[in-house]
Amino acid sequence: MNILIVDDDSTNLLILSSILKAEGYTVETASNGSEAVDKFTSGYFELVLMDVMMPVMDGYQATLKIKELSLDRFVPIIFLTAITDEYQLAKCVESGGDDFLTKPYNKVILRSKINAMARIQALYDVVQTQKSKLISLNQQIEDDLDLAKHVYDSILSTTKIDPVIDSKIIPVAGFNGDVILSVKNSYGGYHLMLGDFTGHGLAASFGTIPVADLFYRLTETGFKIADIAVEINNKLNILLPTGYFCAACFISLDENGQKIEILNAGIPDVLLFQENNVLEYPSVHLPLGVVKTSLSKLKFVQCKITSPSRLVVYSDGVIEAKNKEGIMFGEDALKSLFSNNIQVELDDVVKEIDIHRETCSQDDDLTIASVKLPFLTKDKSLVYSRSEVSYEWKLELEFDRDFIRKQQPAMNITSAIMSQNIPDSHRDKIFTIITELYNNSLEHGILGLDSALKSSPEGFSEYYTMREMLLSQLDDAKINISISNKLHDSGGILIIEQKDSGNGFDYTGLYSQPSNNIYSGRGIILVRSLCKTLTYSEKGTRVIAEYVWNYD
Amino acid sequence: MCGIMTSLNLELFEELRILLNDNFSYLIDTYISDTTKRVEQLNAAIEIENWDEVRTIAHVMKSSSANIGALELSDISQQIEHDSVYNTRGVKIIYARLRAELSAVIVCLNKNR
Repeated sequence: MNILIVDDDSTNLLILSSILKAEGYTVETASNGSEAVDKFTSGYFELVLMDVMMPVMDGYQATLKIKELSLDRFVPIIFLTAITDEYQLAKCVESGGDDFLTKPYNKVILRSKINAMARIQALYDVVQTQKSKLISLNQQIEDDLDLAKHVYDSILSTTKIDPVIDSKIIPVAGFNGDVILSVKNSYGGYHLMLGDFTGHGLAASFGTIPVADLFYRLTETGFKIADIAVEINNKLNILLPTGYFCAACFISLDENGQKIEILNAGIPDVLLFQENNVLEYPSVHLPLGVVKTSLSKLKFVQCKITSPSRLVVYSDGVIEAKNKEGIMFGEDALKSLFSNNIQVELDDVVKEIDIHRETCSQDDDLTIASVKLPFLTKDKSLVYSRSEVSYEWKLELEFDRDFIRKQQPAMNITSAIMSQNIPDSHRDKIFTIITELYNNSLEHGILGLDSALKSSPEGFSEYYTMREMLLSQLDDAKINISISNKLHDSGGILIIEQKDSGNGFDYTGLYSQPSNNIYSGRGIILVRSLCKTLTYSEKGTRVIAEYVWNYD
Repeated sequence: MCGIMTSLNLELFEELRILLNDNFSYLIDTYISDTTKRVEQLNAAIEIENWDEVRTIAHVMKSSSANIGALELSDISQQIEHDSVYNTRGVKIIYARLRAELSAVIVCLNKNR
């Protein structure tokens, strides 16, 4: 340890430095405060023994300066003094002294004091090291958060909130576990989604990014709200860890704001305020990401708007806002705000929640959105006319072996067809036709499976086991689909032509009386009943189906 | 050994001898020369009644004398340090005692070096 001794008396310096050298310390001396500061600046000392009364610069001033020079480390300063003067002792402490040593010097006391200081110093060094580690860790976390926030904000800022949809989002932290997405769809109406992820802050906000991405991308591609709900649910089911999910609501509004479809999956009742009453749409589905779902499980509620209404969706943070007594804001309070004034501003609603909460801090993200229905045109009269009509087009697709082995194209094909302004009422039928024709070609034409197998429960499972096996061994295969739309007065005809590279199947049964298991693919009976014509040729490797659709 | 036994704490003095070893003689020389000089300065300061100066010099003599084992001389120095603030009239009388004690200490130191 390097020690600096400061005393103006040579006798004292000699004795003290002899004691310290005998203890094994390295010692330097200074004969006044000014010299001590100079030596301290140019050298490296870990402890200073400081006399009080000295010419040029006294011990107090020197201590102040030395402490100032060593802000980043702990350099103990022990004052050398007679204990007689209390005022002097107090001043030693005030100027930054850490201990006293009285004259004449006692070796034992001196040694123990130096050791005590060394221990404090070691502790200080540990704290200092940890502190700088913490600072750099903290800096790194802040940098990461800044980056994440940037990515998060830039993805969510593409939120195409339309003026017809009014919303307020108040997160607890910079990152939001609530998300509200809305976008004009290709049918002229709107898609709206409110999501509330488990928890809040950064962890909760992670899931909002893929959700927003899927929501916008699929809407743009022409997907219907139900398809989007399925896709988002199944994506979250893969992405989110157990125990994390997203309570959500999907809403589709037609171009006039007169026909709405609602799916509530785990958020508080969606409310539709009308002049004298309020309709409630409670949750009918598990929150997103809990289990895999399919179209058939999504029960969208449809509703026609005949008088001025206000649709209100919100996350549970709104009605669960608590005051000091733990009393929640509640659904009734929210309802009465809108019932009393159907035009109430969301800002005022948020203010009421703040008033209820009093001094209590917000503990969950809070999101509320509303839409005034039906939409008003510029001349303030309701619009009932169809804004877009279909046109003639042709779509050609070719699926190769790799695609056939892994994918089911029916959903995407149907969405592509539906995006061309074909009324939604035809959706399920078109989907059925595409699915059945494709599966028939694949299972019987290409894989050569016999659907007679499916007549018993054991055979049913064997059928699908074989299907999997044959698919994985599939050598070379191709399915071509061509779909064209021809218009007529009240709608059009979809002509679906499909050709596969398989060996065909016995379709003769199609033209005789239908009875059990005469021909492969019972689904084809259904297709035939849906279509105007269904014609197989070339040993069953080629089929043409004509489907007639009309405007509603 | 020393004629006036009270002048020097021999126990402390012998400890210093062991501690300083080769430097011991140098320590005694330094102490004698510094202290003799200081007593002259003290005398001059008392003459012109510069009590601040008197107090400062007495303070240093108090600590260095205590450290070398001249406890009586340290006590007298402390008395002067005190009187320079609270009883300046007593300082001259004690100063005479200080001179006498210093002579005794020097004799004692030289005998024992």
